[in-house]
Amino acid sequence: MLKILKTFEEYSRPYRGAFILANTCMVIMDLTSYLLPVLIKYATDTVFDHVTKTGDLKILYIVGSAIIISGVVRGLLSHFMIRSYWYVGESVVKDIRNSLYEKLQHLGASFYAKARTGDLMSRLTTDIQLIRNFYAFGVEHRLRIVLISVTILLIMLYQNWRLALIVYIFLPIVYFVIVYFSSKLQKAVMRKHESAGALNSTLQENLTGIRIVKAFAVEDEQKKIFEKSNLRLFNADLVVTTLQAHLNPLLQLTGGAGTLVILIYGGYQVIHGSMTLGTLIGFMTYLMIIRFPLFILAFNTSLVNLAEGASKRINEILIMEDQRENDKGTVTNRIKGKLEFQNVTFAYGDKKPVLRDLSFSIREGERVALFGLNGSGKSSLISLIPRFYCPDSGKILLDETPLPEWSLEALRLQIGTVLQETFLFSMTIGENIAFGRPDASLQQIKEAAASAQIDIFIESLPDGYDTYVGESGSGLSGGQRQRIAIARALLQNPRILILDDCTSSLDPQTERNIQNELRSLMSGRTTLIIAQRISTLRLADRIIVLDRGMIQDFDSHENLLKKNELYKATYETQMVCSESIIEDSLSMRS
Amino acid sequence: MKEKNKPANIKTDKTALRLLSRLFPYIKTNAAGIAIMYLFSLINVAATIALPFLIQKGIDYGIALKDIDYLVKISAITAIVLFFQFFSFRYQGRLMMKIGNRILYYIRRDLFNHIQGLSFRFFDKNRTGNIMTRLTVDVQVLEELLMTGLDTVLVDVIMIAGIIGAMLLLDLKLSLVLLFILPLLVMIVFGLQSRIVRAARGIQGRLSSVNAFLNESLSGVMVTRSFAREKRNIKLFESYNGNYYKNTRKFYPLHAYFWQSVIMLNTASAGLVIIGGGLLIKSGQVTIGVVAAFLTYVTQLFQPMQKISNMLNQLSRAYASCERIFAIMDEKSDIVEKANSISDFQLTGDVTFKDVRFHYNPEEPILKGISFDAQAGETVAIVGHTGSGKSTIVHLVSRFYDVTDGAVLIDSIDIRDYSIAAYRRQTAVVMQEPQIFSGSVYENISFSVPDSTIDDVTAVCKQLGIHEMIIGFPDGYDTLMGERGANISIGQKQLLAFARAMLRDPRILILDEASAYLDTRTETMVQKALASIMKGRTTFVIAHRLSTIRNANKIIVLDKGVITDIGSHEELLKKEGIYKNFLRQNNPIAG
Ligand SMILES: Nc1ncnc2c1ncn2[C@@H]1O[C@H](COP(=O)(O)OP(=O)(O)OP(=O)(O)O)[C@@H](O)[C@H]1O
Ligand SMILES: Nc1ncnc2c1ncn2[C@@H]1O[C@H](COP(=O)(O)OP(=O)(O)OP(=O)(O)O)[C@@H](O)[C@H]1O
Ligand SMILES: [Mg+2]
Ligand SMILES: [Mg+2]
Repeated sequence: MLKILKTFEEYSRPYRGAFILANTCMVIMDLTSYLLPVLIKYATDTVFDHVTKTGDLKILYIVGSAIIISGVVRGLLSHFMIRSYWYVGESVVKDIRNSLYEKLQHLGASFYAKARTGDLMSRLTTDIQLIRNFYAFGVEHRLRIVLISVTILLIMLYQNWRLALIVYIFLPIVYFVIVYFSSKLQKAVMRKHESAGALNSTLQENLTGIRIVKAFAVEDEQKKIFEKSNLRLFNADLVVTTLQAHLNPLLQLTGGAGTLVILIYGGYQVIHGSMTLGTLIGFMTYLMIIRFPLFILAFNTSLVNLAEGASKRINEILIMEDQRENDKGTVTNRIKGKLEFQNVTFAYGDKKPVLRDLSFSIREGERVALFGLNGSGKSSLISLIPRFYCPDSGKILLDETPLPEWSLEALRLQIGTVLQETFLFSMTIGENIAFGRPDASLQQIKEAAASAQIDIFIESLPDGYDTYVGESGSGLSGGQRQRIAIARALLQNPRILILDDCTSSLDPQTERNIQNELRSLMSGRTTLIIAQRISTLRLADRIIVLDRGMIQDFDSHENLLKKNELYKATYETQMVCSESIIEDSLSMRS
Repeated sequence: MKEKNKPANIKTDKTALRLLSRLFPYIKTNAAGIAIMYLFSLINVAATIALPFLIQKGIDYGIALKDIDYLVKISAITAIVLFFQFFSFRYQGRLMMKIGNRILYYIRRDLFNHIQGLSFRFFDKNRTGNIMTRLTVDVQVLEELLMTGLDTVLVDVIMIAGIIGAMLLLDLKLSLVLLFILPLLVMIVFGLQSRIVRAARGIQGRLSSVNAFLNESLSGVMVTRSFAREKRNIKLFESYNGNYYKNTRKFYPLHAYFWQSVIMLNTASAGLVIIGGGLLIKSGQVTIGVVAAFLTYVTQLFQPMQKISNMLNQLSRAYASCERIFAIMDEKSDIVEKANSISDFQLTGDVTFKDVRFHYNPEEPILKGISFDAQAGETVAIVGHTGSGKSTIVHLVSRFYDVTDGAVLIDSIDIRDYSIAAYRRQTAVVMQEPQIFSGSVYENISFSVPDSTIDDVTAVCKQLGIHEMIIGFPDGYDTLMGERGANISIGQKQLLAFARAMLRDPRILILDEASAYLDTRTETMVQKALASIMKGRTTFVIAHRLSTIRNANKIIVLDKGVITDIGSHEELLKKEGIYKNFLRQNNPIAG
């Protein structure tokens, strides 16, 4: 328990006042709860006797109302206790959730290449909820278990040590029962969590890939896979619930046995005059009180165990190094656009390098294309410029200033990127286009859409720019999605534009129209274009030919045709048209 | 999309009774178990009620009258009752857990199996997150009900009746305190509890928007990163989170009030019993033992009451969850298999579109009368502007949607006459967006033919010419893919998707911009392999690159849902039209 409190000390500090109040209320409430048996004992022992003998009711009323008043006070105390504990719990968790989100927004691309969405989500939902429960009632229960059992045992000892000692015999039994069960329960609960997690992952993958599942008609296999997870969860669940179903009757039996012992042995003592009847009834009441900690002990043990695991998993993320650690740069100048790679080598993790000893330089406002086979490292190369990744060795200079000296935000805000895989958010089309500049006016959004050749389509929709986009763009054709992503980058009005194969799903005509737009839009801005079509590559002033992470050539189209094998072969394959077409196009050019 | 695609709230128009009757089949199969469970519960209740009674007897007639024999006798009976209580409690619990878990298992199974049978239209409208929630959160709500509530309804009502009965039996006059306790208790339990339920619902709603935002942020993190939008997202999240937080602050004070009243009432009733008991003792109408028993009963009365109120709370949440679960179970696929569908057949691969009309939403016709003929062994290319309906045509060939009008004939038989799975099993698709699952390369490829061996997979990859590439991955065919294939390049993903489709040895192959991201050399290699593998079979190709479509036997030129031209490359070249224009733009030296 202390471990968790310490882990999140920083988060609970602002709410220390409430936490102390909650604990104080709890202690007072529990201490007053002993008043009750004392009062009841006094009533049954003395007052009733007094009433029968003298018929004087005053003292009866006093004791009766004292009990009622104590009820009111305890009610109020419990109110403040619950309220404060929950306040602390919800507040701490709110702050942790915010920090986690902030962290996740800043964690590096290498983290996300490995992370599982399902796993992250479960840390942010289930685990967080466990921490909330820990603060809201886990601490309370744990403290009360200790407080109540210790004080009750002391009071019993004080009132009748012989009877108390006999009741004590049950302590080690209860203790071992609990230890036995909670260790078993802990394992079982972990298994259940794992099984539930596995079921969720199966489900998530099935649903995200459901179209492929249906296309290949492998629903039956998927059902079998799910059945396996489902059965595993069923069994794991059964173990947990059966353990609980066994533990509670056992604890109840122990409590009952305690009462029985008090009845026999206490009764014996009362008959022999060594104890009053009131003490006996008092003992029974104490036993009732001690039933509460006994009853929640198992539950509390497993909660604290689970919360410990959760706090570890949450903290793991919180203490991770993120991009802000590398964001020591302070340069926020307007980018001019001169880009220079000096002996840059880069590898994902400890794998073999995907970019090797790259050196080249791009002039201000130059249009450069990247060309190479699949997996040659084009996307990796451009991911270094907005610093999604950092090179393992070598240097990248932007306007003569090394990249790490630029402020990350200033850098990225001036670079417009269209990633190879289009991702749209489930918001309206307008909001998607304005993603990078939420304050953009409708006019600006429309202009960007026009440059990306998507304006006519959007305006043809019944809701226009307010049309809601389905999950990851469902309901739009592939080309429509790509053009929205292009509009999104253009609206940024960037100093450097990076287009990673972002016209691959467009028909040549639309592509050409976009390029014509870009040509005027991009004058004076550095542009990097990745493409496989020669017609697109030709737009660039110079073309980098990348081969297995190394630069093979960096030259103009005409020169490459003369000296680069791959480029030439590609050109020839793509240039397979009848003479007339060529003539047509030639005449078009003139 | 259009507004139809707004995340749909699955309709809920069920009456409470009908919903419960939906659960009935699940309960019915466990009827015997449930009956036995209730039998044990009754024993448990009887024991719980008997115990204070026995102890009162022991005190009054044993201890007070100094009758040790009687005390021993009573104690022995108490011990036996304790044992009965223990066993019945234990077996009741075990049975309940078993039955509850089994019901959950069946519900999860039925729900998943039902979802597998739903069509594209359903998945166009419903978000993954929402469907996930049905199978996880909503089933869990049912779990809580089944695990804690299944035995509560009856048992706790009996318990309350039993306790009240015992009190009345013990002493009628002292039972008058009930007149004070019961109305208040009922007021608190039902009044406050219903407010708690309402508040809890509000919280649940806020929490799901926090989580939905979270989920999407995680999937779109690279876009966020490239637009440096972290700060704004963090602020947005804080506002969602703050909204949820504000709502929780309406919730837990209710909780505090609830317990406050319960504790007050509980203690106060003990005070009342003492005063009332004292008065009655004065006039010699009751014994001290009776008062002691009353004290116990009064406190015991609260436990079942709390449990019932808890159960009501759970019941209303479970009601909402059931509603959502059964709403999905009620969803019907719009692609239905005929009762006498053809299931034993070998496709030749002739595909005919007869005046096909199609729309996703009635206001927007997408295909406006499409007719063409594709013979087995032909490669048919579809070209056209983006959004002209190319993907839609091939969706109809896979029967992901049914035509609105006209017909799609496969081997001269209406596609709707075939058994869906048997038909799709002889076709294969490579979609516009390559779909890679986490798992090894081998698992990803053999996805299409689950019982294929590593040798089958290797053979196909060699045929396609991508064996070398896979061997180059860190662990070859065992290389584990990240989520959505995050650790390979896009072109590499497309190649894996190709291998997956070819492994099936399809009679009809559909390539929807399947080579958009491939470099020309790789594409040529793949095409050569395809040409030999697909000999005598039908292939549909959607592509924008001339090199991809040039060799097709038939090229369909599509414009805004209408075929404007159809013919071979050479034939189309002779005409001035969209195709020629297309070629012009495509020419490497154009521009
Ligand atoms: N699931 C859907 N629900 C509603 N409308 C859709 C859906 N899928 C596509 N559409 C719309 O139907 C039209 C045709 O889409 P389709 O995907 O067939 O185009 P496409 O020719 O394949 O285009 P692209 O080359 O861009 O992939 C588009 O306007 C698109 O917005
Ligand atoms: N996150 C990653 N972790 C590990 N390896 C990666 C990761 N991303 C890419 N790779 C590997 O690095 C190499 C270069 O990948 P990259 O995405 O840069 O290729 P590309 O040139 O963009 O290819 P394509 O034309 O297919 O898009 C590939 O071999 C790929 O498998
Ligand atoms: Mg790439
Ligand atoms: Mg398409």
